[in-house]
Amino acid sequence: MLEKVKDMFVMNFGAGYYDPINDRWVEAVIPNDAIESQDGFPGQGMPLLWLLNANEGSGYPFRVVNFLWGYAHRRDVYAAIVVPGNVDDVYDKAYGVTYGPIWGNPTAPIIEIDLENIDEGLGSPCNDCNQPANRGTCWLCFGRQQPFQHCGHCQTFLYCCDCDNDHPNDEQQCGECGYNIHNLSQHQVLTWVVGHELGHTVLWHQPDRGHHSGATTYDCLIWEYEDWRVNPPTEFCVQNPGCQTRWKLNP
Amino acid sequence: MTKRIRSIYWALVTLILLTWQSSLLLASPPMRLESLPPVAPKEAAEKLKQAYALLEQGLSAELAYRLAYEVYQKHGIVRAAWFPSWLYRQAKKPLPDPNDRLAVIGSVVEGGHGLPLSMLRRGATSIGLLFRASCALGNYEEIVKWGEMLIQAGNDSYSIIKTVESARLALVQGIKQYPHRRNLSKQIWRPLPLKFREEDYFILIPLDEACKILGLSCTITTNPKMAGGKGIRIVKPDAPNIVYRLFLGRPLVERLENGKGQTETLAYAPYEEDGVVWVPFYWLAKQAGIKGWEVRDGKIYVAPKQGTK
Repeated sequence: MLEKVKDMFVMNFGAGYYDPINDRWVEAVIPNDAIESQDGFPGQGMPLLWLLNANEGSGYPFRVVNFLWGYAHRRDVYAAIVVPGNVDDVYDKAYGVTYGPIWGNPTAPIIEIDLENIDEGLGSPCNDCNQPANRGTCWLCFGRQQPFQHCGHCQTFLYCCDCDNDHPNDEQQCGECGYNIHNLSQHQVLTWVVGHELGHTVLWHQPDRGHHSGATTYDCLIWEYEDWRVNPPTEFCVQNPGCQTRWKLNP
Repeated sequence: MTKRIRSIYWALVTLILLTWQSSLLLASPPMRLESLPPVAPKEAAEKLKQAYALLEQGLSAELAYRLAYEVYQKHGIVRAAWFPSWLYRQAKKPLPDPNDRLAVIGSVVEGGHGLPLSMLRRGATSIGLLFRASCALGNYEEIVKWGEMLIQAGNDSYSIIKTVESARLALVQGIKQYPHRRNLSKQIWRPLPLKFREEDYFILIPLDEACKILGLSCTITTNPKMAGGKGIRIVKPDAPNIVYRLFLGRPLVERLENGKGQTETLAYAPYEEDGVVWVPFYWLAKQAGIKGWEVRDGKIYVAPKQGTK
């Protein structure tokens, strides 16, 4: 495991917490582990993150972290704000959106994470095709890399599942035809989405807000295509090491 | 020779698709608050809300398409967002405008309402719903049409790109329709002796009563330490090692299997009113193994489970 340095501040508004006013526990939507765990982010290039208590303090839209350098308040440092939400009225099916850069931001360094779209992106297991609500996505099983490997009944790569009630035997085979070929967990993908969006907050000034494209960037967390089901990320900007220095918000 | 021509043809198709897609793909678009589609007028927003509910519950994709298309014809690309109705009844202070994203997020960050307003807020665009309805209908031409429009409007998530790509390939092969839609004989569907309410176009049922009828083991206990003040657990008789935990006022389900938890999402958050816990029927039906259902003549009709008549 590469040693990582804590270089960015994050407030997680999807974390589980104790609500003292109502004296009760609120379940986590975005576990803190998805943000601060040393094992959470892939490989080289991502920093560890300072996780701040999201449910204390005030100052929206800016959560200023008055970082002291020695005894001096050298400059304002901002915490990215991670909020679980729903983005379909703007970006249908997007996993998350970033509202702006970490610095000089007219709104706030907000990251909105759409857990529902992440689940949908990972794909319903095809053995659940008989659920009417899943039928819209069932035929998307083409996304797997080995199209014919498991689906003896498929005549073309588009038809790996027969979602029809009249063919229950196909369900057995459909179970092998999942979308999620690397068996990625929701937590893993959530971790990557948060990391990717945090990348936007520090690379906002770059073209396409920091998305990296091209053949050398497939493994990068900020790769524009983000098809992690096929190509799990292993690093952050190894081919563009200048980008890594943008994490160094810690003065 | 034919084989060679075919392989060149497919190589060209692949190249065109890759070139086309690489010029368009964006995975996590930066929010462009200044260029959002206009907010739909009230009557159009209501149709979008209904279409959304139909699709989320796996009900009539045809009707969902029709409603979204009416909105598109009249208003073009518009968006709508809403909170569930129960939230307005239970909120102790005024809620932010659901169409004002920053106000909603601001409310969450300031902790004003004690509920995850940004998750309770639901929304859709006219063309997003047309695309989703086309997917549910398996109509490849429509998928390409609305998908391209979504992409041009900046909704270029990877799953949309891939969906459009596959639909294009199907069309190239002369396939226009995904053949999963066969007519189910609804004559043999039976009514459930279960009261329900329709709210925000979602069919909601009282949890305790529904569990008895659907054969699920449910417990609702008063637990002031839990969000919403109730501990709700559901177990399927054929999978006793899997426990689903629901949370009042939160569109989430925690699925616990052998001690490991996984958070899943609900399209409609359960809530409690006058001592009754209301949950969306579509989700409970799924847990009960019900393959098809609809509301007819004021009753919920369900398809028989496989192997039964």
